[in-house]
Amino acid sequence: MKILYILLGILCCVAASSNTDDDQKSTHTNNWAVLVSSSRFWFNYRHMANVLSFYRTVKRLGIPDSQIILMMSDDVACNPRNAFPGSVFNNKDRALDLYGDNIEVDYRGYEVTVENFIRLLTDRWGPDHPRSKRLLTDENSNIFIYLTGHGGEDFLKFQDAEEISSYDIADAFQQMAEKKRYNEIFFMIDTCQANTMYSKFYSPNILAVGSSRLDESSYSHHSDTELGVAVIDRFTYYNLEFLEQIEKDSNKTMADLFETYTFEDIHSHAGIRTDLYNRNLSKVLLTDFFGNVQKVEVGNLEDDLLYLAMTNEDGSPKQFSAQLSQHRQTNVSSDRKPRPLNKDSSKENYINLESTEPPLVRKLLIALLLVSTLGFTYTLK
Amino acid sequence: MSLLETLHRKLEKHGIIAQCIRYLPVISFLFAFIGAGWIFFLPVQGQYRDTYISENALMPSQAYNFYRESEWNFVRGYRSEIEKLANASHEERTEKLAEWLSQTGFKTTVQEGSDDHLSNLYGILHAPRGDDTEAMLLVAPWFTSSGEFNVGGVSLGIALARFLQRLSVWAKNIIVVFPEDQSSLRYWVKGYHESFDHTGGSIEGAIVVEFPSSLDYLKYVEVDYVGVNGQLPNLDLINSVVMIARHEGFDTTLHGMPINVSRGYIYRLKTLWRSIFHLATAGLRRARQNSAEAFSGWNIQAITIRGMEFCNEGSDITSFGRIVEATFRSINNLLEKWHQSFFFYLMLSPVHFVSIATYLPAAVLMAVSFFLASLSIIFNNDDISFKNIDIALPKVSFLFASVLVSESVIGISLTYASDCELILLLTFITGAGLTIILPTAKLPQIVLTANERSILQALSLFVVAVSLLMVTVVHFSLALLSGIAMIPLTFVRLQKEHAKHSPVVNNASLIASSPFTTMLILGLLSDGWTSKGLIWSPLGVFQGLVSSFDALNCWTWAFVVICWFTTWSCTLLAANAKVLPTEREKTE
Amino acid sequence: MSESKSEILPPEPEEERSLRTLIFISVFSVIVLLGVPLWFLTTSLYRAELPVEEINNLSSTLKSQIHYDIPFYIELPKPMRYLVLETQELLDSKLAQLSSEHPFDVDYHVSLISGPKKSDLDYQIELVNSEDPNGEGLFISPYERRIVIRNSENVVVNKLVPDFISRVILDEVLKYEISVHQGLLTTNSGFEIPFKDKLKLTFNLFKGDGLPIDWDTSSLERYLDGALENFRTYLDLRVETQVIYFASLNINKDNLIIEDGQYLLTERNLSSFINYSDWGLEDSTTTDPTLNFIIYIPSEDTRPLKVQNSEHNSFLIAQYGGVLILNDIVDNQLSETDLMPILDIFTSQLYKLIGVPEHIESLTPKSPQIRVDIMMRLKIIENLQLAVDNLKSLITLSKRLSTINIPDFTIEHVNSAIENINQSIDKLNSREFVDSLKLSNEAIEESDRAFFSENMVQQAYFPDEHKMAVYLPLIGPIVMITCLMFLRVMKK
Repeated sequence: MKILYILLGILCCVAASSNTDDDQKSTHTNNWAVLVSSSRFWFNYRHMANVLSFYRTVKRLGIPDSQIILMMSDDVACNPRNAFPGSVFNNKDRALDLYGDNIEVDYRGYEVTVENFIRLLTDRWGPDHPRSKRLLTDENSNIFIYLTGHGGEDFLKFQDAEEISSYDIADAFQQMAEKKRYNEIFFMIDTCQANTMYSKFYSPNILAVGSSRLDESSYSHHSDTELGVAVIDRFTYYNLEFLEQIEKDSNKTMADLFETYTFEDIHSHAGIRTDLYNRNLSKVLLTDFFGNVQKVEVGNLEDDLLYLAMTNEDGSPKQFSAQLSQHRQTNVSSDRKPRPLNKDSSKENYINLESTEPPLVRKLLIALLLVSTLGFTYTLK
Repeated sequence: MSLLETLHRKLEKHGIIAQCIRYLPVISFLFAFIGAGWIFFLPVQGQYRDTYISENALMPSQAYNFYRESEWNFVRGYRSEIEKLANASHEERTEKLAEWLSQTGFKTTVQEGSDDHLSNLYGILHAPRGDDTEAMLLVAPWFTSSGEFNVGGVSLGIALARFLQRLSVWAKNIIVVFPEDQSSLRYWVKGYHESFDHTGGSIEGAIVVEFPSSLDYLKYVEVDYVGVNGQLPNLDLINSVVMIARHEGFDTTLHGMPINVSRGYIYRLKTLWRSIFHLATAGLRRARQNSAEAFSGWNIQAITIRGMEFCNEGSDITSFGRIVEATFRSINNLLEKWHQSFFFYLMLSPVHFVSIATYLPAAVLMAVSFFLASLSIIFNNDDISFKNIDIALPKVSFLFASVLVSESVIGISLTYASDCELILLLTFITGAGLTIILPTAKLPQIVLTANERSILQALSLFVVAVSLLMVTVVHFSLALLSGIAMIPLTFVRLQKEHAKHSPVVNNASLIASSPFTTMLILGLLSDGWTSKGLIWSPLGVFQGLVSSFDALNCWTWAFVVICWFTTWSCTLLAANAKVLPTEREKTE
Repeated sequence: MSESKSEILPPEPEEERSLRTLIFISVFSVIVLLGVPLWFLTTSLYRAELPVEEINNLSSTLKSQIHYDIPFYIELPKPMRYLVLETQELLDSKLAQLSSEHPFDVDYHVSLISGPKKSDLDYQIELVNSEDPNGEGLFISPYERRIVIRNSENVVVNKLVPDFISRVILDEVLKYEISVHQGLLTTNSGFEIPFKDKLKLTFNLFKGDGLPIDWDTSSLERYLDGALENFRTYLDLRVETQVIYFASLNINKDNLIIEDGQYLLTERNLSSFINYSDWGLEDSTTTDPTLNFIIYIPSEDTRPLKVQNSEHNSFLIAQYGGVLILNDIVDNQLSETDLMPILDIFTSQLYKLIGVPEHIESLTPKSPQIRVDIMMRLKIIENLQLAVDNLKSLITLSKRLSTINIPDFTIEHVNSAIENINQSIDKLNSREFVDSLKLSNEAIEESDRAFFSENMVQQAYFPDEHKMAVYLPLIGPIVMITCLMFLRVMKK
């Protein structure tokens, strides 16, 4: 019965592509985040605070550091103008030091360039580029990309010196799509006229949101008067406010998040682009992008594999050609044999096949096979 | 092309060009008139702009300022000590202050005095976390620009130094200087850039505080910003200071404008004229030197804030100090440089300005007016035809060049004698006398043909036009005002077509357009040239012109000599030379 | 106006005219010979010629180029050799039959070869006779690649031996592989890691408390040697172990469900069980795929910790690794005997994570070797397809993005990828599966290198009006002057 159950289970999985409800479930197995602050200088403190806030959030929700690419164009924490050296806050209450512990900045200062950003997305690097600075995604990866800085119609300034255009990002995404480097992308951008930045995308499975329409500015939320700078942008602030309420296993969806975007809060018209995205937003979990909810399987273990690997057919322990134990001599005495887990499989255990006239037991087996085949064809339909 | 050709033909057909040429003198005057009138147009609503902070990094008044009442007692304490020093010698005062300054943690140094200058006390605070390449400067001179004992300013300066050193936000070094007056400040700035061993990097911004009172309260703040040679601090600095001052509850004025008046068209116009006037005469007023002038030439954005109307209630001196604190925090926020734009502007009020594109036409029109006058002499003249221009040109050029060289030599030699009042006085009296006598005299030694005479006059006017155009961009105010003063030059008519033209008009024009006349008028109509009284004032103007050339590297004197004296003299020569009859006249 | 002027002006002397022509020619030649090439050199992109035709060809004919067969060795006494031929015929016809029902994606065969097997990697079929008339049976050894078929009187008499053998091969041993080729099953379970010929395994012992623990790493090594033996032929394996104390649970104790005095981990808890920030599982030095196996010993206050619905108190994380929660340890040590069942669970998980097909009655045999072989063969075809797809993507990309550089470096790797693909197909067709797999993997790497070539970075987008703004002042006056000059020279 168990066999049939497993078989049916597998068949169901195979047939899953025709099932509409499963369509709305993300098929990713890993999550990545690319967080970019593109502007320099002390007065752009809030952009650094923006990315660090998101860094903290995605990390809190479970994305490991090795899967977060943090690009920080300036180091405000160590800026001499910072009245709180070594700290970055995103709120004037200064309750939470974003720079507090375990910050892994992958690209800092003048490393944050248009070229490096494009290279990061398309993974075009020299052979010596460190792993931690690479976006090693595959077709099972969901990527959250967050950009903040100063922008305009169809461009985002990098480092006060150069700019990236919406066409560049769109083409980079296409290159990623072409090489199957993502399952889905959630693109979020908080700059002036942000919505123009995603208008040129044309690759599939990208969900994009921006803070403001064409000819609209994005505004900062509030300033810290002791620091003398604005500490966070409005759009980011309200996104974070929502995300702060969710936990690793939250069932909140994108639609829930997008519902909270109001002009009263953000002071600009947040934009959402869904035409490249197939899933229903009210079925897309926030943790599909902000967290790292892993697909797990409980049970369904196969027995005896180790025993089989360790033993010869006659029950004597196997000798290995392997390298592992070359370095260390095992001090286990030979009489302590591994105990077999399933005694039946240690002997020659003949499985009877149907022959011309099957006995009763075989008939039963055949019946089981028949049922399973029926189940298989049924699910296929 | 064909369109232009048709147009050209039409013009020719109706003789419009000929008409225009005939009326060139009128047109020329019209241009000058519009040029001067342009300034009256600028304060009309819609022509000027409201000031704004163009550099995002500055963020004036965004940070909370900590210089509050708790610091007041330090100001009071220092002040009571400094009051005792009011009659002490410079050395005594410097010594006392140096002691206090070194106690605050500043690296304190005294710049050695020289024959002409007193010593200067200064201290540098190296920002602990900064990169030690840039600095902000706080200046508290012992005597204000109008010569008063800056008791509040110096007390505030030392108290602020003590306070600023405790803040932990500095990315730039802080330097405080206590010069005796404006000229020793200049000496200090020069020394800082040329000879000091111990500096704090390039000075990104400087604030001079003037608070010549022992009272605690003040009504409003006057901002002074004018530099020599048409140099102005970045408008963002003025805007920041004005904005911060308003944030701290102070009204601000510019150029000595009164505070409690309605700020309408007339107010704006007055401020505008005053700013033009102050800019044009920057560096010349020896008795009221603006501290910001001391920084001209080193690319330092400097501004003076002056407490006005001291009283016993209202905003106190710590609020005044907060202007410095907040401005320093703004400058501290800067990275690398001030915003590129806004070095050329004219202020109409603390919060209104016109930028160069809007005001420049005034001076350009003025220059064009001289150019048209020069053309008019060539075209409306039977003595001249195109053929004999090149015959006359060598002689005329030589004459012009020799006048230029000789006057330049006199001009430069005078700058060496700028300290000797007697020489200056004699020169001034001679010059002024000649101005009146020469136009009416005849100069039979100089013999010119009618042709040459006209060309000499035309050349002079042409040189004026070109010089004005050249100066316009860098020193608009000087170009405009000297242009206006030289307008009478275009009224001089020497050709025989104008035989009926009264020689009195010619003489009057020449007298009116003489630089000495302008100096006289300037001296008599405005103050601040000398501390000796009205009668010495015109000499004060002359002395200011001559001495500022060396003392402040102010090239107004050079402009006056090369452009003004030379062209005036040449016109004078043309007017008074003995004229040979032309061939036609001979045959007749 | 110019006409009237030219009438007035005296005609240009001959010398001047020829000088003018000379000037024009020299200016023009400087522009053409120096300016234009310079402009072209500095603005043009280097786009090497991609072997588009070849790649398209390869892509459309890839599957049809593959025709491999799987040898089964059978040792028979001479008189019975005829059986080989008969069985082979039967196998062929059966495969043809299957193919007509659901066409195979590649040309797939099974060949029966008389004689002993050539190496340990070959399959050996043994025929034995049973005394019992109905005692026919089948034993597929889980220890080695050996299949024992027990014929009974019944079978022999009814001449069903070939049928029996072919059934065993097609329905018992290779059923899974055939189904995949027929397109009835996919190999993707969503759990296995992407294939690469290098693999890193970490074995981690995490303790919720700080009590020291001793684990017998030498026997762990020995077990691993065994468990990994089957993969050594084509996988370069690296194993690391670590013990971490005070490894705090990622889930708040208060959020755990308590049932029968046990703390229960529900499936929702499990999906975020791994504590990335704390457990030091990250390795930023290697880009090779990594599988992590974790023994978690909870601290006293969360003991016993149970995984809901799990018999062995363990679970599997897709593409990541396996976790086992151990509540009872004796004497603070994990001895060889303690490790045995743990490693057994991990081995099972490892198989699944690597992508070995599960043992399902009548689909795959129990024998791990055979299943690994099947996976390997299927991987070859997947790899080849992936490599070709990569090359195809490169072509699409180069066509779509006109401003992207294509350096020679890319072409080199494209060519070597194509070569690897072809070689791999050859090896596959000549039954050298291990070599073929290695080559197919090499093909993927080469095609990746071509695709991710460092110099193949698109130029930043430059709006047309900006180009105009740059070129117009530069070229406008030059063009104007030369054109006017040309007209003037021509007029004369």
